[in-house]
Amino acid sequence: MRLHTLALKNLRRHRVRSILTVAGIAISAITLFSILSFNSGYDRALKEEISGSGIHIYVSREGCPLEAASLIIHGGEIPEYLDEGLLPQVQSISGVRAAGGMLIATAITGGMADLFYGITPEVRSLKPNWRLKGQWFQDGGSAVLGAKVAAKMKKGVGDTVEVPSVGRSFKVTGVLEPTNGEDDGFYYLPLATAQELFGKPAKLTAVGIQLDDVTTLAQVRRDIEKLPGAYVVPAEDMSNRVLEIVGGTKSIMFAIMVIVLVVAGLGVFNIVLMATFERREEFGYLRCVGAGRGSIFRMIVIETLALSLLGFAAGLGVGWAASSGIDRWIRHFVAYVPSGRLIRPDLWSVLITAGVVLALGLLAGLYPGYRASSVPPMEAIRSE
Amino acid sequence: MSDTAFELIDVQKVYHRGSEEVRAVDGLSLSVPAGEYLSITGPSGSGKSTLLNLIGCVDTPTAGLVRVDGLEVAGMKENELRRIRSKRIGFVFQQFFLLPTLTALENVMVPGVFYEGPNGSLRARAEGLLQTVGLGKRVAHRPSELSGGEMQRVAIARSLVNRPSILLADEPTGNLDIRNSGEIVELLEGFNAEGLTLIVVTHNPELAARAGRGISLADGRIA
Ligand SMILES: Nc1ncnc2c1ncn2[C@@H]1O[C@H](COP(=O)(O)OP(=O)(O)OP(=O)(O)O)[C@@H](O)[C@H]1O
Ligand SMILES: [Mg+2]
Repeated sequence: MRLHTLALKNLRRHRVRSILTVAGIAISAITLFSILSFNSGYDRALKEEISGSGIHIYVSREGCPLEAASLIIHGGEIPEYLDEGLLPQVQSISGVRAAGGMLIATAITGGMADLFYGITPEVRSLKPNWRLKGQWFQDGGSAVLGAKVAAKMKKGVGDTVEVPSVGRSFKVTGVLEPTNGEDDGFYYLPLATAQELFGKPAKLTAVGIQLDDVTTLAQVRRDIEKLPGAYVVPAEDMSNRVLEIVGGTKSIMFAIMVIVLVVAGLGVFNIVLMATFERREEFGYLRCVGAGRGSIFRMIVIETLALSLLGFAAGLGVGWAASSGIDRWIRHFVAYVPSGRLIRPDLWSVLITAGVVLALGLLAGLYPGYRASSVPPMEAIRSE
Repeated sequence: MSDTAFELIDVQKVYHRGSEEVRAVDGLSLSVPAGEYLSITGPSGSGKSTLLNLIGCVDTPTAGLVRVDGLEVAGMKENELRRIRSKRIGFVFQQFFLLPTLTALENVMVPGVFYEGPNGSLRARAEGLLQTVGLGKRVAHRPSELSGGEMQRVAIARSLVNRPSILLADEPTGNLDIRNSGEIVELLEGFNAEGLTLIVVTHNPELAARAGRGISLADGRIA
């Protein structure tokens, strides 16, 4: 029999207490693991979406700089508009594979905002992740619904949807399958319909451009900027802008994580310390039969480390298994949600979680271990 | 091994309780030859346990000499004291101090965990000792599944697992009924008959009378 056998068997003494301790550690491991997986996963999902969406450059009205980017994504009202005539000019620039015009608008009734996306047919080819059930617009009275809109309005292909915020009905010719991104929340209308509906004849919010070759971006950008009133926002800049916005959310998550870790650490510390107070006589006895202070100290540290290891393993297992659920849940809290997976567990998040949880366990065991090792052997003989 | 199991010469142990000085052992001399069976009696607070602490190297004297197996204890570092406790002394207490999550066999093996150096087959010895104390069929039982008498027998087997030369028993029957007390005492005496130096602290005059020699303490001295 070895010291660690003694330490590990002791964990069964108060089974419920051990289980609760492990659960507490597991929760902090889940939090840590999920947030770390989100941290790197989100950036990658965003980059993938921006590069994968097929749009390399957005063109918006001059004087309407990067703020436009977030508005394009969120579907906000942009006060400055492009002239529709710009679209064919952009399309004719060499190096441009496809360019689509869009007019984005919001209408509010009863505190609920409806988002509208007037699009030219080219936009469809800029969105490779769109899968349509039904058909694209037949005429000016057609609409295609994003998946969330369809679900909220309980409408499907062939139905007529009445939109109170604009006081008009549309025939639903198609419904987009869920992209798990912002695109799910829009009404898609033919560009002309949107222009007429929102009183912006011949206007565009932005033009999205796909290049033949991304390396020609700088050249194409110079060509576009020669056009009067055109302001170029590379998608790359846009993703950086989004990362800036989401950075705030990430900071809050990290703050929560730190709080969870501190609370869990203190909890474990408290439980282990209490348990060592209860076992004074036992330590005294062990000292009598030859245990040194170092042995007692190691025994307590092994006990806490074992609890931490179990908590880490449980947390990792649950965190991994629940990562798609956590993924769906976390989407509610982020400003811009790319369609790819946000929680992406990788080796690093596993290693960092292990490191932090075990370090915390070690830390929580040091003082109780010291206290336990300070119990004199006389404690056993004197106590009555 | 020396012929004297241990020896105390003019030993004092003074405790301080606030400003008050307690002379728990006060100028006591005692020499015990190897293999002796000695009983220690005396009223509560007379210093019996303190004396046992000193013999058992759990505590060091304030003044005087303590020699265990020919080794001078006073001035030893804790680590050396620990080695003496581990290898030469066995303890049996009124309380059993069995670890609740371990089986009887595992409990008997506990002192072996802290033994430094070659220790033979700990498990085999533990099994043999459990057999000797009549618990051959209880090796896999946990303390909660044992009676008080059985627990004390486990504790006795455990105290002997590192092959000590001196067994110190502080009220070993204090928590047991008459029948169990008798069995425990017979067990201890059996080990004494095989050469173990046996020191028993007791309040029980009948028990004390069975020892080869008896001393009685009062106020930290031999009365
Ligand atoms: N660690 C200590 N600090 C202060 N005083 C102590 C300490 N240990 C023992 N004493 C005191 O020393 C005296 C002797 O105590 P000891 O425990 O040796 O008595 P005892 O003969 O074993 O008594 P009992 O029969 O009740 O067990 C008592 O007055 C006790 O209060
Ligand atoms: Mg006593």
